[in-house]
Amino acid sequence: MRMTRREYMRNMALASASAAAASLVPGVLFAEEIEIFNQASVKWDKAPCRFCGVGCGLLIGVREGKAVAVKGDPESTVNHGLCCVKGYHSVMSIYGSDRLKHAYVRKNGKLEQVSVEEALDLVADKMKQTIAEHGKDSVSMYGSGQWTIPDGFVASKFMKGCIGTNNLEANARLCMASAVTGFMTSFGLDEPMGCYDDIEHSNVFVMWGNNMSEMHPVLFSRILNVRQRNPQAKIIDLSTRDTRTSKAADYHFLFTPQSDLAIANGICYEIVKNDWVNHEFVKKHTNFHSGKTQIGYGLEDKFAFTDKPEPMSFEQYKAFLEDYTPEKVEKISGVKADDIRFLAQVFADPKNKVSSFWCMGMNQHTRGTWINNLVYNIHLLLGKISTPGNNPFSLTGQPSACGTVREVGTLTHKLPHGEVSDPKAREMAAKIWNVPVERIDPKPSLHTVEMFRALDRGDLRFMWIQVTNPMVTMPKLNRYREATLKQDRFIVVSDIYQTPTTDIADVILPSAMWIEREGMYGNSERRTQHFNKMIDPPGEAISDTWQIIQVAKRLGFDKEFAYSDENHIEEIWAEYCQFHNSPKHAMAPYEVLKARPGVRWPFWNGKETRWRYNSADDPAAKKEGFDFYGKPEGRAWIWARPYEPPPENPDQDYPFWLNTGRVIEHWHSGSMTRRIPVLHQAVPEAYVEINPIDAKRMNIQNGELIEVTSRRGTIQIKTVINGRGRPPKGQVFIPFFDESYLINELTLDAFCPISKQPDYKKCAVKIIKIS
Amino acid sequence: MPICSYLVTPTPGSMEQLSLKFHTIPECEVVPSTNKNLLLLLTETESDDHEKELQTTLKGIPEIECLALSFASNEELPK
Repeated sequence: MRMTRREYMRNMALASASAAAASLVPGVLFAEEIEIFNQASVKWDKAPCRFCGVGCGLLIGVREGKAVAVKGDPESTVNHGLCCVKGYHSVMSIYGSDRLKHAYVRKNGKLEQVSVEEALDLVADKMKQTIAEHGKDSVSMYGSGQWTIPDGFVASKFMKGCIGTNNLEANARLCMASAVTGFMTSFGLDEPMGCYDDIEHSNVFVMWGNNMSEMHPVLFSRILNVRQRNPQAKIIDLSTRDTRTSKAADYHFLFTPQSDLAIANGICYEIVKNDWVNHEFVKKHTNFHSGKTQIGYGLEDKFAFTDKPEPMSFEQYKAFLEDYTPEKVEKISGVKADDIRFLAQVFADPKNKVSSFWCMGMNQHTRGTWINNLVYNIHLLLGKISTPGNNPFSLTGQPSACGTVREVGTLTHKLPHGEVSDPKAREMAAKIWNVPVERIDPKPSLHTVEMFRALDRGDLRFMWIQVTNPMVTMPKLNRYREATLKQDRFIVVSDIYQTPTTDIADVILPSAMWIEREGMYGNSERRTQHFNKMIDPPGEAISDTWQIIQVAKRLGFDKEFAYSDENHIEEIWAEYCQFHNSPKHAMAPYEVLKARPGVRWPFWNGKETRWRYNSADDPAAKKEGFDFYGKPEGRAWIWARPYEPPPENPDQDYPFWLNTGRVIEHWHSGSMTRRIPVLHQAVPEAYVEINPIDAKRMNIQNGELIEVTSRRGTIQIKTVINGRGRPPKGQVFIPFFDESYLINELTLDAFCPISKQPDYKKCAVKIIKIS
Repeated sequence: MPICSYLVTPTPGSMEQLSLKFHTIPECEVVPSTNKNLLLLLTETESDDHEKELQTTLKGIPEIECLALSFASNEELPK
């Protein structure tokens, strides 16, 4: 008997309550079995969660070709059977009533339904035509940290190995690029040395601008669990706004936006001044360097920057830190000098095992690379790194920002192994891809912001966007939306729902979503997670991988994309693994991934690696104790990076800081979670948080509509006073999930000159009471 | 056509009585826990007005100590 939509909703409602009960009251049993969890007709299969970068293991229940239930996978060491509210409701995001089932092509200004074959023909023809008229570098592809690993791999092969352009970027540039350049400059290799297992080994958790309780709730619950079992465990929240994480923390320090640079240096000053340095570790495993200063903000088109590292001595580094005495840091940051001393003591106390966590607060920062370096400095000076419980950990926001964008390398400068500028990396790629090496361009081209600027200027004429929603998420959005609408620009969008990005498309391709196709994601802790195709996609929808393969074949690259329909994911995985066939980054074989709820690389001799660079655990670490083998001499770099102010500060005309971010109920631009009834109803629209003192001064009431204006745009939006978050005086916060309130029309497209990642956390606005 | 589910904590000692009370309300379906003081409640109504009436009924049940919404749908979505 077919299940009606109403029966489906009833099942989901009961499953939701049951899952909530299980998470709130462990061990709870019910008199009647919850029907959907126990029916023999329901088939369960594992998948990583579709949403954030934590990578919780889920079990998906499928009946009659439909995903009908979700429970946490108890076998997954990420979440041990627990999920957050988004995870429990994740399968509902598949079944929005307005799911894209067919392709559309814009004809005479209107989108008309066409067959997918016709749409793919048009995409291929338009690419060919654009290349013929304007050259290979006039076409581009903009993907996502939600791309599966096979999606990203074929995109890289198609654009870099076949078309011969480096115009390939992904939205992870907007969320993780500073983490990448932070790792690269400090360690020479990307991605964390530690893993989530550190949580249970640590007793101090320092949140650097990271509202973990809402953004990574399952990991935060693990931290709370540690604290419950160990009263000595402490959570320290360093933030620019009072959040749910602040409320749960034992210590909360509010700092002025951008001044985290000074705080980190202040902690290092105290560590050095009090001789808490682990001299043996520092001497054996680190070097000191300085780089360029006054490095700009990337506000102008074609901005270019290359850093120039200079070696320095420990004594020179010590002299550099003199600018960051606790008293000087207090003046910059607003954090009391005694609190800076306290933080340094907590880090340095030999009894403490310290985990630092961060995400967008440090990465979406005009000095994002620097602040990543500076937090590594603290851990390196103390030797509290690469050991269980002592690690700096950069969290990710998307399910495969690491697996696809960072590991496959779907950024302009990257290849699946190494960078395009490295002849050996190009030779390896050409050999594995079976393409002429000359075809791979040695010069990186356009990073994300510059890619949209190039579209505006006319240097780019064609852009294919997959699995992302830049018409909600690009900073300084008005300029880049207008760019896409200019004459002679051709935009292809692959997605599962209509969004503001499909609104500007010339061609819309309907995509198969998550468990409607086979794939792999890679999470924050180097864990690769495979999922099977469990259900059929609706209508004519096909996977992004297969869309790219079909267009590549239409452009004549049959030989390079001769994958089989039935086994193409396995074949792509085998090809990709050739790029990482060494103890530094070996990936698990396909059959191992199929069998397990994720495997952390390097996977070598049948064993996964939990702590990189630690010779006791990492198969590539050959030196005694630790081996930071990404850098010459196996030494990590401690960087002298100064505090520099942001490009735009509040002033007389625009007296408030604007901070943007997320809420637990909604994921990114909301195109999926806003179609999940319970999540939509929990937070149906965006709002502006304002400090109660500012509200009182301006006679603004809770729920009142106000106007928020920056030098780039304006929106009208309802206020929340004393809500889940509370900004300090002189700051407002607006979440970006709601396409009805495009907050990125106000944000600034300044970026970190090294990582090219924009800063969404600070620009200047004014607010006006409307009524 | 609202459908909701709740976690319900009965007042001490009233688990059975509350369970029976829910059985008498046509819009309610209840699943009691066998080892904890907790019930799962599924409600289904025909319209928003009908839902409001049910909410009033639920608010008037003295054996409910805590009623926590877990899921709600009336198919009203952004698009």
